[in-house]
Amino acid sequence: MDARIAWMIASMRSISGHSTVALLLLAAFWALAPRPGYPAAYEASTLHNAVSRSETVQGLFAERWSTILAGDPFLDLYGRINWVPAFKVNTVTMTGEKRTVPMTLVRTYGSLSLILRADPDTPADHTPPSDMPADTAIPVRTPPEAPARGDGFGLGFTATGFHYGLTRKTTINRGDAGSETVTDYKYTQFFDDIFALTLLYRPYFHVHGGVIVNNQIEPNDDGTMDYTEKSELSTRWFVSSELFDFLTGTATALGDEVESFSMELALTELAGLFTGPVGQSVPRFTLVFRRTALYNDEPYDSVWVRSATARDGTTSKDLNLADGLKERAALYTLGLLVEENYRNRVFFDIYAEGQKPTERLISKTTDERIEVSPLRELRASLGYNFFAGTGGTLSTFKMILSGGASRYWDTAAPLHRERGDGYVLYGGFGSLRLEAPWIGMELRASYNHSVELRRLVECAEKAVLEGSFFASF
Amino acid sequence: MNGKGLYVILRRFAPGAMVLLLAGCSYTMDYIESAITARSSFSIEAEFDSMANTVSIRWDESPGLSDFAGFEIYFARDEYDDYDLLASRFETESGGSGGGNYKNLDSSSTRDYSYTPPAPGIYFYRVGIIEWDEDDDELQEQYGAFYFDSPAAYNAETSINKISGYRMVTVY
Repeated sequence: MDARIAWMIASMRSISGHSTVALLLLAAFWALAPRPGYPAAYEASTLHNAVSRSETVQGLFAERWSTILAGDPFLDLYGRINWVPAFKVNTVTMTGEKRTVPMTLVRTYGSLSLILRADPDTPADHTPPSDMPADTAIPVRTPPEAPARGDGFGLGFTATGFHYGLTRKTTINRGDAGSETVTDYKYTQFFDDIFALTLLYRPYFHVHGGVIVNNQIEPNDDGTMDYTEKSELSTRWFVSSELFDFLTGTATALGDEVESFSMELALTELAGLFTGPVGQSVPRFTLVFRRTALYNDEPYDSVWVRSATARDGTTSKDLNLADGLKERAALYTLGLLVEENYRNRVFFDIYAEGQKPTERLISKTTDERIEVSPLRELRASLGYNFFAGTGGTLSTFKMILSGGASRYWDTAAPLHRERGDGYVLYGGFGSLRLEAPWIGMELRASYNHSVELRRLVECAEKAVLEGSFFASF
Repeated sequence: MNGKGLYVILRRFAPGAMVLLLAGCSYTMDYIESAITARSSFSIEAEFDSMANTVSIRWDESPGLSDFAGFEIYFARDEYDDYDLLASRFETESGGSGGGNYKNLDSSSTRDYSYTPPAPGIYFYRVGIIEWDEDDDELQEQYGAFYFDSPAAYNAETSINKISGYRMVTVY
């Protein structure tokens, strides 16, 4: 892998210029337009960063629980398959030839939560939404999107898993019987799982605690893989809690070291403690503070910490840097999220996040200091529910068409983008979400969208296609 | 809690917990995606015998199918090329008729195959396990009682159930 990382790092270039918010809208249209073929090669190496991957799977866990807590299910099942086609990979063939081969980056995500409530249902648990038309023919069993918050004690168990890996598609010509396509595993496959217990005492608090299991398996040379093959396994512990719907804290630890820590303060809900319950259409403001031990002088990092020379003053840092000479830096971020849900018809959100690393960051290719942009992420999205305000059974369904645009800054952007050499990426997404009582699905296409780039910056300048489903009872 | 109490709890909840663990874990989702995209799932061995001028391919994978239709052998000249049919029960290496039982590729107990490659060079091989797409009654209705021996039925009503990984052989 080292030779491929070296090749990848050799393609790293200089810092980008400034950007403007006004470009976001243009980026949204540009992002969804047909793309030309990619001229550059690519290597998926930062997938090896288990810190970043743990953050991703934790984010998905939190995203799912946010949905669970908005309703009152006892069983929640969620699955997502995400494909990044035309993923250019520098490879060496079995005959020793160096070649750039298009592959597919596959990301699959599954989650299953079981919630046991100590208290029986109360009539308040099944109150129809306040904005539902009075003549609506509500079925006896109200669907979960109704604000049915069951208060009281509860216990939850969740198994959540995320798989990342490259695959290669091949066509098999069966002669007169036609042709079919098959796929092979390529390179390391990553499996990150969370097993967590949740204690609920709503509406006062809930606490999640569990283990994150990071695993990586090398497939066989012939494209097959055995889950029981020798693998690299590491475990992390995490705990997350929310108090009174407005204060959320999350920490992840490897051994006795805290790797990441975040705190969310829901300002609108906090204000509601003093002013009384806030209406559904009032914008939600949330502050997000996060500290992540992101830069560690590892081979897969795109930057050196503090200097290209180790603290002993003589050793030039390279891919073979001894563990004792590696330096570490954390990234502090502070974000503000504003969300608006207007009568379940129009959905709008905007998020801006600033950043500051704890040490200087040095480009691995130029050995020069990187001027870190104070703005890490800026994104906005708008959605419209076509079934809002309809009468009868149809009002229990949702069909939400959404779109959005984003700007994202990352030290690894120059490595993974196909064109240009800047640290800033503009992109967008489009999605269609269908929800019926207890089940739903979403189709989503994105290009350079910051939500995808945060999860995996390797998605830079590549189309991402995603399908997801859920069942919640 | 005594041992009996613990046993009762485990017996009651363990199966549900296992299902929960499996359904929510990364391996299950990968397994589902693998099934959707027909991932190669078993390995083969292949070697060239220069004395006999033959390539021999072996596999251990059992079809394990009640609707097994045959084995197929595929080849490519480049690791990242598409694969072409080399042989099936109905088709020989030269494109002729295999008569329905060519080199025992119709038998679920067959575990090897060999042939004489046409020219020196690099070859890549795969083995496919083929299944009938429809059930027995429907196939009999459409193609008669002996549909199993019909090339037309085979070509129209079968698909790959499992595909092997690939194996490179140098022929000299």
